[in-house]
Amino acid sequence: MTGTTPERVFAVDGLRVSYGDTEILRGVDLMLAPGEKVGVVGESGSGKSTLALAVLGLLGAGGRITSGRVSVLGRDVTGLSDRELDRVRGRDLSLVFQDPLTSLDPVKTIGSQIGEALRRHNRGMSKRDVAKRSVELLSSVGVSAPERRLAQYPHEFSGGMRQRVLIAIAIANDPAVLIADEPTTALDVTTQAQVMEVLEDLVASRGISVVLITHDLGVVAEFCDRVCVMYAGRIVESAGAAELFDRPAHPYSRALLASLALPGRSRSEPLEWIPGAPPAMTSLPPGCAFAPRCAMAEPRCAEAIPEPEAVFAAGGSPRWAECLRAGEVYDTHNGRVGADHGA
Amino acid sequence: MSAVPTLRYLLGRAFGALVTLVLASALSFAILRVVPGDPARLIAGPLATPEALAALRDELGLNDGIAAQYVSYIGGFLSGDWGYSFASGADVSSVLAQRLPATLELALVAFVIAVVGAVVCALLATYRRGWFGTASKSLSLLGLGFPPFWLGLVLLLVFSSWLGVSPGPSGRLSSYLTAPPQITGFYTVDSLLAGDVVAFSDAVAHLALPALALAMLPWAFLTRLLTANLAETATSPYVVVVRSKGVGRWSTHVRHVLHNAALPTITSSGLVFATLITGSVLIEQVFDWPGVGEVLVGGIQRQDFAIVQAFVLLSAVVFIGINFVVDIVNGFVDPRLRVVGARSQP
Repeated sequence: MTGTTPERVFAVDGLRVSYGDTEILRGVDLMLAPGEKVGVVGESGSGKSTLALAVLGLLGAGGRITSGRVSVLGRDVTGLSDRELDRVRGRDLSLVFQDPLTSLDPVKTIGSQIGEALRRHNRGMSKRDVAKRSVELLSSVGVSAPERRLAQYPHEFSGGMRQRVLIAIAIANDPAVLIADEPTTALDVTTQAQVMEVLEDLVASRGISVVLITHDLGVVAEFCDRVCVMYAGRIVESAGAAELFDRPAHPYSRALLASLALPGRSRSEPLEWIPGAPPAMTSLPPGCAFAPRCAMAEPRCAEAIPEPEAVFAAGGSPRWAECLRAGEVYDTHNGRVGADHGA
Repeated sequence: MSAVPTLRYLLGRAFGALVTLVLASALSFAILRVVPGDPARLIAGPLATPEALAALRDELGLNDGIAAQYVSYIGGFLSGDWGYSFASGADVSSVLAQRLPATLELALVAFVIAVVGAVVCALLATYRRGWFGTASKSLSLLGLGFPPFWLGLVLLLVFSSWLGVSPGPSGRLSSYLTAPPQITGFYTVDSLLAGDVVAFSDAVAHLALPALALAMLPWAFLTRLLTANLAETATSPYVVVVRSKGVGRWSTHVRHVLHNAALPTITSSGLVFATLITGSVLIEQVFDWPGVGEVLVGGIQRQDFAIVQAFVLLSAVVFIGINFVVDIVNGFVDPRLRVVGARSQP
C-alpha cells in the first residue's frame, strides 16, 4: 500500500492513533483521487474527528500516531517534524473545523486571520497583495462588502458567515486536500445548505479533494462521491455514495440508514434504531466491534476482525465491507433477497 | 470597528471613574471624621484650656457641618492646598512630593519585574510540559506564602551579609554619594540624565533587593493567574484552526493564546500596580527606604488628619485612575468590550 500514484492526492494507510493506552483509530485506510469528495460518516465517538486531527498532525496532548502513514501529494507526512508539518498545513492540506462560533480567534480581525494563512505560505507577500487576495477570498465565499468586513471581528459575523470565513481561510492557498470536520453541524438548515453550496462550488472550480467528516447522512448524499462508514475507530464499509444509500453491504451501514428520515422515504415506514450503544474504546471485543449489536452476528464474528470482503454491484464500482456476511447483507437489502442481482 | 462606539466607550468609562472618585473621596472623608480623635487637642497639646480648644476648632472649621467641611477640603485639594501636618506643621503636599518619588520608583521596578517575570514564566510553563512548568508552579506557590518583609530580610542576609554583593539596608543611595539633581525624582533615571554612572549603579544596587522582595508576591499571583488562563485558552478550538493554517506552535501561543488569555491578568496587574504604589510600608521599613510608608504610619499613629486624608484620597485617585487605564487597555485588547453596554469582565 506504499506506492502513491499521482491518482491519489491523499492516502491514509492503516492509521492507528492512541490516547494514552486507549486506541481510538484502529487501522484506518482512506484514499482520495484528485477532485474526489469522500464522506466519512459515523456516530459520535467513532473516531471521525480524531482522524481529522491525526492527518493534520494536530492531535492534542497525549494523542499519538502509533502506526500507519498519511501521505499528501505522494509525500509521507507522518514522519515529519512539527515545523516541517507547518509548511504542509494550510498549503497542501487544510481544515474546516466543526463549530464556526468558536473556530475564529475572537480578538483578531477577520482580515488578520485570513492574512495569516496567506502570509504564512507566501513569504514576502506585500500588505497590498494580502489585502487584495483576502478580498477576493471573502467574495468567493459569498461575503458581501468584503473590504469593509475585513476590518471586523468575529462577533460581528453570523454563524453562517463565520463558516464562510473559515472556508475562505482553508482554501486561501489552494490546497490539494480539504478536511471538513462537521462543517455545518452548528448551523441552521437553511444556512447549512448555503454553506455546502459555497463549498461545493469552490472545490469544483479549484479541483480540491475533500474529506467531509459528518454524522449527517443527508449532507453526504448530496455532496459526496464516495462514503466511508466508520465504527469504533475503523472504516467498516466504503462505497460510492449512491450505491451505499441504495444497498449497504455492512450490517452497521444498513442499520444506520434504516434509522434515518431521508427525503423520499415513505412516512408510513417506521424508523428503526440500533440496539445498545457504541462500545467503549477501552474494552473492545477481539472480533468485529459491531458484533454485540448486530442482528446478523454469528459466533465466528467475535473471533477476529474480519477481512474486508469485496462486494461487486452490477454495473457499479468495486466496493468493500468489513463483514463476514457482507455478500448476504448486500443481497438481502430491504428484504429484496437476491433482487436484481446479476441483472 | 467604527470610531463612534470607541469614543462612547471612553466617555462611559471616564464618567464611571469620576463618579467612583467622588464617592470614594466622600466616604474616606466621612470615615476619618467619624473615628475618635481630636485634631485641635493634637495641635494645642494636652495642657490647652477648653476655651483655647474651642477657639482652635472654630478656626479649623471643625464646627462646620461635615458636608461643608468636605466641600472646602475638596476645593482646597483641587487648588493644590492639601493642608498641613498637625504634628510637624509641614505642608502635606511638600511632604508627599519629597517622599513619593522613592515609593514610586521602587513600585515601578517591582511591577515591571513582577509582570515581565509572570508573562515569561507563564508562557514557558504552558508551552511545553516539563521541569520548567513544575519549577514555576512550585516557586509561585511558595511566593504566595512568603511574607514580603521576611523575604526582604532573607535577601539582605544572603546577598548583603553573606555574599556581600549587595549594599545593606541603607535607603536609596550609599551615604558617601550625593543624590543626582532632581528631574524625575527617580534616582536611576536622574543619575543617568546627569551622566553619573557611579550614582546610577549604586542606585540600581540599592533598588534590586527591595524591588525583588516586593515583586515576589505579585509575580507569584500573576504567574498563577496567567498560567491557568493560558492553559485553558490553549484548548480553544480556534487554536487548532490557527495551527491548521500552518502557523507555528510558538507563534500561535504568543499571538493568539496569550492575547486571548491576557484580559484577567491585565485587570489584576492594574490592581497589583495600585497596591504596590500605595502600600509597601513593611518593605520600606526593612530597607530603610525613604518612601511615604513611614510618614503614613506616623500620621495614623499621631492621628494626623491631613496627611492620612491626602494619602487616602491620592490612593483612591491612583486606584480609580489605574482602573480607568485598565478598562481602556482591555478595550484595545478585546474588541468585544468596545461594544457599548458590554461589561468589562475577565
